[in-house]
Amino acid sequence: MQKAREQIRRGVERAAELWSREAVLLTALVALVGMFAVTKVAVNFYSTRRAHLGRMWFNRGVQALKASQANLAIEDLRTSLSYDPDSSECQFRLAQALAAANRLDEAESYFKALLNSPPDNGQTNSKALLISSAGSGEINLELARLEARKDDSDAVNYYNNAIYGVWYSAGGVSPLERRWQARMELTHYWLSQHNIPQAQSELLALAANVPPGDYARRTEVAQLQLQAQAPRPALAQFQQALREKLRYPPALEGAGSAEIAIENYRDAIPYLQDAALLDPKNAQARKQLALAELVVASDPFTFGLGERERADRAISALRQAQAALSGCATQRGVSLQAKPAQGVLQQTWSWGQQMLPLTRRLSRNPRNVLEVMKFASTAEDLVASECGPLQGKDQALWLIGKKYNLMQASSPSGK
Amino acid sequence: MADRQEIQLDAGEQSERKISSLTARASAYAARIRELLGRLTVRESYLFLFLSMVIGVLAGLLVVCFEVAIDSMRIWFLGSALSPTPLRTLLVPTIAGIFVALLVIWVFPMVRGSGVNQTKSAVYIYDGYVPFSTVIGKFITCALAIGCGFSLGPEDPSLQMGAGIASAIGRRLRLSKEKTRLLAPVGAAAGLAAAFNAPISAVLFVIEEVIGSWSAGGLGGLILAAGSSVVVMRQFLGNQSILRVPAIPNFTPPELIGYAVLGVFGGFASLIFLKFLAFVRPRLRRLSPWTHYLQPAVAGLLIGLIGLFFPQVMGAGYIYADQILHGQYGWQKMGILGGMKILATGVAFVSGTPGGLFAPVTFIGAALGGAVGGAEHLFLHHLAAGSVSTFALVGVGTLFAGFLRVPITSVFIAIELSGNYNIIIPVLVSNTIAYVISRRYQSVPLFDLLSRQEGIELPSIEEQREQPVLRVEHAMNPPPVPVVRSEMLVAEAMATADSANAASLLVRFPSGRWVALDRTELLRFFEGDGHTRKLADVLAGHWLPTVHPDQPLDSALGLVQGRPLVPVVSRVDSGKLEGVLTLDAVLNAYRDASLDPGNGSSAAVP
Repeated sequence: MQKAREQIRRGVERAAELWSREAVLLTALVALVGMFAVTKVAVNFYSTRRAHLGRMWFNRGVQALKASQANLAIEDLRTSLSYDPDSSECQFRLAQALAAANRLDEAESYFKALLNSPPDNGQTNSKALLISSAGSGEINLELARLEARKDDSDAVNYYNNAIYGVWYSAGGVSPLERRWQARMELTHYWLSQHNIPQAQSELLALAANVPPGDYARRTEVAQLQLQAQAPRPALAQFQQALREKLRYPPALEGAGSAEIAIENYRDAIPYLQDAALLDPKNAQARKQLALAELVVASDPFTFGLGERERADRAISALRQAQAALSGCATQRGVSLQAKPAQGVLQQTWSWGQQMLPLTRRLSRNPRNVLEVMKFASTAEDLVASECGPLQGKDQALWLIGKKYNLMQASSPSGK
Repeated sequence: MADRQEIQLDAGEQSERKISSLTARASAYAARIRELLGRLTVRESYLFLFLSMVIGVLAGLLVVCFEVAIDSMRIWFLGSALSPTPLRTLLVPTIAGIFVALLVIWVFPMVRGSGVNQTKSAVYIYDGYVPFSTVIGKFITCALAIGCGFSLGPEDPSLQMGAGIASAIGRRLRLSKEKTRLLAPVGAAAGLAAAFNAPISAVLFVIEEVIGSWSAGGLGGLILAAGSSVVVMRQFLGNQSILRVPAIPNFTPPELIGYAVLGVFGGFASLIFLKFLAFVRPRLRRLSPWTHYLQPAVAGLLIGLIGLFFPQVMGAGYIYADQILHGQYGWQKMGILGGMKILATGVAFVSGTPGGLFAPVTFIGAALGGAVGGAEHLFLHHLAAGSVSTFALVGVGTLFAGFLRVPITSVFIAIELSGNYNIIIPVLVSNTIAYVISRRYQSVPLFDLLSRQEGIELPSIEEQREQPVLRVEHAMNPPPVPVVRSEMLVAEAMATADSANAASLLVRFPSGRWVALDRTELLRFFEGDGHTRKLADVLAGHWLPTVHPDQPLDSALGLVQGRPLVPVVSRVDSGKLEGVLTLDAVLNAYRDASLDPGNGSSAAVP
């Protein structure tokens, strides 16, 4: 028995000796498999923990961003990013937080990195896919906003990239709508840059893409067209909005404003009356209504007006203009009686004095009405430039002069 | 009773017979298996390549576990927030320092330092022997130290752990000494490649710093191991590079001046860091032994104090290096962070805390590059029209060149991290300047310096580059004997030898082969019936080896021994004799070179 055991032991030893190399290799391979399994378990546990921490810090960051606590959001999102460096959503939010904290260069760096990242980014998170890639409308829009804040001309490129970029539905907003909003922001940018022709062309595209029945958005576009000195297209849009929603106060007020802008004061009145009636607190509508009524009431060239009435209106305009000149001269400390007349106020006053004899023959000579109104509007224009904005009837006279192109070349605004 | 005893005896015999038969069968099976395995047994060189892959995979797995351990330690001890609370910032590194000191002094005395020069020592002194306990010790102590905020990195320890695994396998397999010595660098490359996620740079670093020579012997193994470890690492931790590098714009030639300025700053920053280590480390090591228990804790406290104001300097710092690359700090802040990181890393390293220098160097390089780039961008815009990120990335390479003094790795590290070859020219400019400055004012490179502080003299590739390269052309002389053609008759050859009074002749064959013909031998042919025969007929087969003028003299040394001379022939025409090489001439050339070392360097052939 003992002998047999000894034989077995010796055999095993000899075998171990002979196969030691193979045995070690085998052991190494077994160790490798074992270590693979151990590493897999450890990494799974670790990844789960990191993912949990990443999500936790991300949610905190987003909450802080919503609460306008940009610096806290930056800290939290950076921590989240340390757990999930590939998360383009986290990078996007971090860039937004940096932009909110006015750290524009850092935000730009992140946005650009996102823009340059490959579309799939090796991720399975579908939400992340929406954000990354060069054609992303969302990132381009954020970059455009940043560049606009920095007053950089690249803003336009980014806005255009955003408009023609890839958008996905988010929060119930369709890609078309988001693209439309991006164009709207570009329009605002052009307006802020006082580039009216570009703004007008964008507004045409915006107006063309307003969904039928969306009177609010149409009104919004029309208001911008009004700002972009395009009152006729604006009026058409307001009227379309009113067809879609009868008695919609902003559209009514806008239509009234557009009519005033195209100098159809009489047509403006019903819109503005309705707007003021529907929203009695709308002081702007009431003010515009009063102005339109004043213009209509003061206009001596209104069709169908009797000679007498026309003369009375002209005389009233002359007196109003003289009073305005006198008030302005007092305000400026200028004597209007000085001889010879030297300043522009004195010269205009002197011109007004020359108009007085004409008032006697106004009803018989309609051409004198025109001369008187020329003086009145030129005087009001001068007062506006010398002594500040006009109010009430003075403003109405100025608008009448502008409508009929009565202001003389010598007046400040006519130069 | 007797019957029963007989029966028992029979049973005993039977069982013994059974065991014998089982043993015999087992032996037969064993022999069969041995035979089968014998058929499978492969040559050692193939085995070496296979092992390289296995080592690569094992090292990759270990590094993955190591990274997981470091980060888990950080989360447990410092908290999950990016900036730990002030109390943790101060207490955690200090307490960790005490534990690390106890472990290093009592349990794992071999794990001090970064691990690079220890691996190099293993290769050169201990035939590639790295104790496996070092792997365990390095894993535990480094994970604790780096995870608790010590400003050190995981790469150099990974390098040593990889070498440790390779060494253990090599020893168990009882490979030849040469192969065992080569396995340690293979494991080192695998460990470093996985930790830095940069296989090319890892291979180059190991060649530049651990092996110290460009021998192709282990190159296949190094590449296989580095590649397989990176594949494993990416399988578990993802493909992402350790730094997410933003897009790199093209540069304009004037911008190179800006990068040259970065090279100057990088060179001097490296120098400050090197001088700090050179000055403080030996002094701390000489302090009383009981202070060694406290040094890591004091270092931890100092790092904590710095971390209160600059939490970015704690730990390996890749997250912050990434932020620097994304232009998230102003140039002043980046400059301060670079300086603070030098201080924190210096303090951590000189205290004897185990941990690596790659990660801190990456951080410092990025911060310094960002600071210089940012300042140039602001004040000298035309010199730095490119992004600050590009400067930060070039800064990483610059510090590798200036501080670690690995010029080739420093170029590839920037390329590998960025994945963009546009960066190569700025990196070359900046790195060269930093390297030259660092060498000018600090003659001994970092890892050699650390080895010498420990009393070990290891070969340095930097010094080897300075060695004069002697070539055959430095030792060859005009032929001292007549040169004759093999078509010549023996009698004519005899007459030529007589007229030249030469002891021998050099015979050239039309095939370009050469034979040295001794006068005595010639006389023998002449006195026999061979004097009317051609030399070619009597001499064929006694060929002399030949050498070329540009061959290293070392390679010719073995050939001249035991021969009167060796012909030096043209590479274009082996029949054209350029000169001859004799043993005396070779020895004279070596003697002259040792007397005047500058002489040979001019002979260096690229």
